[in-house]
Amino acid sequence: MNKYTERIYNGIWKENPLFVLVLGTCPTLAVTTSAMNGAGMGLSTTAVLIFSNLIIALMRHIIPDKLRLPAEIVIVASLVTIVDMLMAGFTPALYESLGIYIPLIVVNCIILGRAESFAMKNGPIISLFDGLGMGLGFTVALVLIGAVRELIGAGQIFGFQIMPSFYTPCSIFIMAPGAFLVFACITALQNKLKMPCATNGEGLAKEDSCTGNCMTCSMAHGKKD
Amino acid sequence: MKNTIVKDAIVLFLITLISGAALGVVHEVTLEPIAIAQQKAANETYREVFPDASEFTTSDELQAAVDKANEEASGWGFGKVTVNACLEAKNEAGEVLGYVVNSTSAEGYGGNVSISVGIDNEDKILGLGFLSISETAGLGMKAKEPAFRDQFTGKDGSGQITKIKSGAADDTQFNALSGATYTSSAVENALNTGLKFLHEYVEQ
Repeated sequence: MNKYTERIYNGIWKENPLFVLVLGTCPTLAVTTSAMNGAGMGLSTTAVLIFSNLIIALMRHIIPDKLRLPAEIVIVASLVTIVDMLMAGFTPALYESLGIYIPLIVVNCIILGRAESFAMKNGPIISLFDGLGMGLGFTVALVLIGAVRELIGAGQIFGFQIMPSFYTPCSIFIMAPGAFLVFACITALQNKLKMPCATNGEGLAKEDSCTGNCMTCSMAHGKKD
Repeated sequence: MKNTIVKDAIVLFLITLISGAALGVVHEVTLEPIAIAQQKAANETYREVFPDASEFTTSDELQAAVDKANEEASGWGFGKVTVNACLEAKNEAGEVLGYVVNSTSAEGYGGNVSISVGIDNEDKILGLGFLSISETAGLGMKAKEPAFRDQFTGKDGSGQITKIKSGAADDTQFNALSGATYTSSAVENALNTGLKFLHEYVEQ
């Protein structure tokens, strides 16, 4: 596996932004009411993440160290707004289904987290692949949570009826509490199986960007939603 | 340690300047396509709610009525509502077949619920469509599905339309979405705002 495909594997599995790094939980809780919504948010984030990683990696020698955060947030916010306007103007059908997620991406800490921990330290091409991997990992995670919530809460997945007709959907799962229930169950499962997770103390190896100990983490300030 | 404040300030200034310029350029480029796309989407909704008409036009008179209604709409008892636009629906010969009224209730579960209603000259509702709605997927968003939307077609729009929770709806009632009380109320309020506007400000 070369270093580019390794980044994609890393983003989807080894350092999955949601399940392992526990980044981007705000949009996760908000938009995973159905598998389709999860996919929409995930793919929009992927698009922004690829470009933000690329641009920030290209500018990593220009950006003064002290001004990393303001510089990054300006770049990310401009990029998101540009994507928003371009989509509204040229792909209205796509915009209608994804448009509501775009503004949420600005405050998605995965973008800033990857800019800080990867793109500022690596070249543009590998950063691009890191963005792609992280974005896909986020998408997979959102679709998974969305599918579970949709299945229990509406008896459907991607809008197709899965549950038999006698099943009465448990609506709480597509409302706000359902997000907490599903996310908590997945985290509990990870802890039980001792899988790597930032909330699971010894789970992560030292060389990873997050060791799960936020108190001593130099980048903790950049990792909040 | 060297003081880098001036250099840092210049770099940050340049980054924001370039970002701002890029935003400006993209805004200029997309201004027209966005307006066209929105107009097209609105026209499609109008055609859905008023299938027989081929042209939808507004006039200064109708716009003045909209403005006047919005000053008073908060006192109508439908909560936070606004009338957004009113258009004459015309056939190919230019005869006015009825009206399309766009109205918004700000009290959906997820904020604004904007609807578009087509009403013919006999006050019959021809269709109801959504211009913007961001309710809970699987609950309030079901309002967009034909099962809910199509029940308004053929209703008597001369008075108010009220929602009912169970049983068969008559000509002036509609069945609320189960589990989505806020959404159903928002649709009810927006719809009645549109009807009241039409009866009291347009048809006289």
